[in-house]
Amino acid sequence: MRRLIQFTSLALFTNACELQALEVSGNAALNLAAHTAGAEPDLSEQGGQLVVKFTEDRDAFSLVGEGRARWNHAYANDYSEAARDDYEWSADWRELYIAKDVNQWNISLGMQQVVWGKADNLRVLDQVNPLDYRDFVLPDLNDYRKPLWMAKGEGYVGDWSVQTFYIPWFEPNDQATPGSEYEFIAIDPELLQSFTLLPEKKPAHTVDNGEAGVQIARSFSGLDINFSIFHTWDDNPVYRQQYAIDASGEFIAELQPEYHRQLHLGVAAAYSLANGFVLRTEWLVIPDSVYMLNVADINGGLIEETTVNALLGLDYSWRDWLFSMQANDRYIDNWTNEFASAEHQPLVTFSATGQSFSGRLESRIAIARFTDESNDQLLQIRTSWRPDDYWAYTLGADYFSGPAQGTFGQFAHKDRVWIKVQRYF
Amino acid sequence: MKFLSIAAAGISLCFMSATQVAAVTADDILSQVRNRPDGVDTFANASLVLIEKNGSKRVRDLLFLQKDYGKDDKLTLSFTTPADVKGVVLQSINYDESVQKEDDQWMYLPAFRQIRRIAATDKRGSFMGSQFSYIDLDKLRVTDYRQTLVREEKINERDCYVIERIPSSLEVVNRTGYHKVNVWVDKDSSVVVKQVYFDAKGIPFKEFFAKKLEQVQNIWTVTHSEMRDLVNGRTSELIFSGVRYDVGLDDSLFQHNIMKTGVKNGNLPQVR
Repeated sequence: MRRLIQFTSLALFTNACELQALEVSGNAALNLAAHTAGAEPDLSEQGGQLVVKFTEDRDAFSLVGEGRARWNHAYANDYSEAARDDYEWSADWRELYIAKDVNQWNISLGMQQVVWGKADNLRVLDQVNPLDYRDFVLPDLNDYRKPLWMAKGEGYVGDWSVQTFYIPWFEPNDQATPGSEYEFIAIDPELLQSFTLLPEKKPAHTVDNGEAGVQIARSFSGLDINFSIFHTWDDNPVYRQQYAIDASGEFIAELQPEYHRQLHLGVAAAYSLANGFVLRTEWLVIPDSVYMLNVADINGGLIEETTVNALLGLDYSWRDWLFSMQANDRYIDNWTNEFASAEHQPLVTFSATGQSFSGRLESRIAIARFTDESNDQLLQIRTSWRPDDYWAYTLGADYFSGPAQGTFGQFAHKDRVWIKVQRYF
Repeated sequence: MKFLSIAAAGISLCFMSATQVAAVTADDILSQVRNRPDGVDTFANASLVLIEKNGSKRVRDLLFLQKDYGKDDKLTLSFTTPADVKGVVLQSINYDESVQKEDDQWMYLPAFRQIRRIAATDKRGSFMGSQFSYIDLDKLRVTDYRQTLVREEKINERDCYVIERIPSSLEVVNRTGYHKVNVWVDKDSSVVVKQVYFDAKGIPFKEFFAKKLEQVQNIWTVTHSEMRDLVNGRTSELIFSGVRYDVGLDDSLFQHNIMKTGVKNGNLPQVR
């Protein structure tokens, strides 16, 4: 219904405004992906995608939109009915907003994405928009970040760049639909056997339940630094343990998924070192993270503790190549082994991205690996050939490894190779 | 950076007497190239044309915005077409050569929605897939090289000084990728009209030509230039149109936020 309202209001708006300088661009793509480790079905993707971007730039305001329609025939037969309903055909807005410059401030209203931080394809401070995990973490982050309705202002106070926004309606992360390709094990299946899982309890769409954030940023010679504060909700639910007696007098244990408020305090910096290196770092402090305990208590098995999430990255530029290494970990204050979450989650990433043949060939290899005893790992390789400004042919591969319940390892049987043919317009 | 100004230098040299010209040194000539008056700011539309050996072309259109801040200058390059590079913005601050401070550079890629600082110590990378390297877009730095005036020569009927430049340090070689550069400077306009770049073996591998030189608001400006790769046979052209100096460009055009919001008509009231 909300999508219908968006399209209708856009149509009314554009009719009313008699678009004068509408610029339209985008691309159409055909995708094919095949499992290489024996998972069924053989083809996990047989479909296409249409992305249309438009900009109407006037003196008084500008209108920016990007819509996406996706089709994946693999969902017609081989996955659950719910997955077919959600993913065989789908369409979404990537952004849709009106912007206006007012006294050196850019004010924008509509569905938008805000990206904070300096990390490369990892999220430490980049927590403003939730994610859609239908394709797990395999696409570029920009392709699965969900836009949110928000009012946003960007401008300057002295030498500091300021970005501030208010989000009226909280939206959580979208987990992959049960029975789909990347259905994710978010909670221990053994735990679920002894509990009844209740429907999610989401915050009501009221003004009080909105989210708001401010980031200030400044560049000095060789150094970029950002400070941010974000009054938000945790994008993932925690599961409260509660007990009840049903109509027949039976004692039942229930898990209630619920969302909790969080305050994010962040700082990020990038510093240009000598000899082609750039050092990046991000620090996020959440004083009120809520975690599940393995044991029930009077608080429903939930506990609030301070969490620190930190990232250190190093980039090296060499001619047309960028090499990037990142180390990321978290620390939970007062952690005990009664927590359902590990105290640390050490992750390292490495990527190399380069161009050759006058920018017509672009290649990227990226590895993400948890460095605890799990050795959970994802390897992605991608190479794209662009013979001209209109066509792009991309060949890629995704390899998972690790334990059966690991973040990546749970998809170890779903290694895949894929091709994509894109026509830009 | 002042790509336009590499080629469009001050005209004061043309008033020198013959005796003075005879005494001129390579450092003097290149200082004139670097320091000539060229307005406080510059606006231009530009097309970067990538030409394959077989003649096939790809064209990238961009807005070129540059402004002086004392002896430093700031640059914003905003790509407008084609679709796969639309919204890409490059910003840089080039500091006064005498302070020996490394440039600051940032890139905004719409696909990542992130402003990323990029190292400025290696400028050998290709500028948007072209034969121009990032270093070729920088303002000419006199002290990076030891230079000698080797002869005088006519290029397209214009009298030129020919200067041989040898990098003054290994750092310069690592930053530029050039082991020697020969530069042709037009005597009348102090414009660099040709450059030949040599590799470590002393073999020329790239050539720059100013194909069209014209006066805009009494400032000599190269509006069409060409970079030829002598090894792979590819050529790139940079064609400027609608060049305007001293237009009063707003400071906001050189701040980071403009990379995310994009340069719009409303940001350029002076040139629309």
